[in-house]
Amino acid sequence: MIGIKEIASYIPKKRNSNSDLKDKFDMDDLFITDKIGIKSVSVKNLDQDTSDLCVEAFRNLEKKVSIEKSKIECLFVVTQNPDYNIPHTSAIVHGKLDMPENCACFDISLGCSGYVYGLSVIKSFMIQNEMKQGLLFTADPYSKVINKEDKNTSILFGDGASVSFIGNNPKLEIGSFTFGTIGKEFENLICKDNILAMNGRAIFNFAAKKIPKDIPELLQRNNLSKDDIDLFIFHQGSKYIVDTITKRLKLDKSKVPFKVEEYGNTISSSIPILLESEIDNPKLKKIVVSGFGVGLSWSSSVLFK
Amino acid sequence: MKIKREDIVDIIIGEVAAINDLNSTDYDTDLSDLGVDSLDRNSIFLDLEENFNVEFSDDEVDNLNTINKIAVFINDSEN
Repeated sequence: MIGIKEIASYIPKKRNSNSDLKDKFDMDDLFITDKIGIKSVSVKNLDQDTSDLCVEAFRNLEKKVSIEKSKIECLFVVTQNPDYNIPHTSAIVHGKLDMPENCACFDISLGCSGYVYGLSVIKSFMIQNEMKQGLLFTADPYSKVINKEDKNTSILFGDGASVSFIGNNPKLEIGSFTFGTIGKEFENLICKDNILAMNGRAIFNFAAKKIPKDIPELLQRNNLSKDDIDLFIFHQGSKYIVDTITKRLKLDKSKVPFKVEEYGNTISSSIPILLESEIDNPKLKKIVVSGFGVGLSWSSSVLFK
Repeated sequence: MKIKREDIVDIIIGEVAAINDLNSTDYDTDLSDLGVDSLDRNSIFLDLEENFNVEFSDDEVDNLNTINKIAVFINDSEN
């Protein structure tokens, strides 16, 4: 059974504090802590690129589990801020980590829904091709494209990366998925001329309306009810959107973590970074993961122990 | 469906934890002066759209800054 054997992450040390931006963006402490829920955002070093963040995540993975590189058969990177347009960043990561030649590599161009889509892609790919070990990276450093004068985005997004070691005898098995896209609304979160722009209201409305409808469908596909789930890991877009979804789904707040106060919304890394902190919790048997955002795109799944 | 000022008040109270009560003297007060921030505004207008079958543009969300203005807009859109 192919699933998640281990997860590791990398969050750069440098932080930009949202408190320092209170006057600039007319915010108060309560807005920062209780509404946005992000006190500071992580920022990569200028000499780091997307592939470097992946490499750091892998180094952290090696501290947790012994990896025989010769056995890695596929390596995917979820990113929309690659090192270069050409070649794919996964090839660069492959080279930096000295992976074997028979390893399949490609990038998955998705944002906040990317980790969940990525799980479906890697699980299917490995089963179809009878593979036993693979790596799913997420790394999407928005610091490359943030406009520091834009309140909508500069107080939210932080840099980070994750790697999930996928294979047999996993800690977490992967259940059925839901997927969705509203392509007509693509302009609501877009990077043009290397500058990110987001219509905050449109993204909020999308997530507040779609996810509370998606989760019941997901649970039905997995023959589960809300009460069967031990933890709901929603994409950590902001405290406000996670609270809104929690309220609309009438979920027990204790089952819905929000833990990105110190580093921010790390796009496709937000779910795996949180999952890493919970993967060894023996009390958690069934975990919903739900990613949503740029595209507009969403995907959800259930992970089982 | 016609909207009453009290319907809007109910939505605001439901969405903004810091607001427990509003009365008619607040109907012409700017929402931000009542304690509604930009994120609350998104929730309030989403609730209004869902409950009263109306759509607001981003400009309308910015400009409809009092309970009275919102009520007039929604009721006029019915006609």
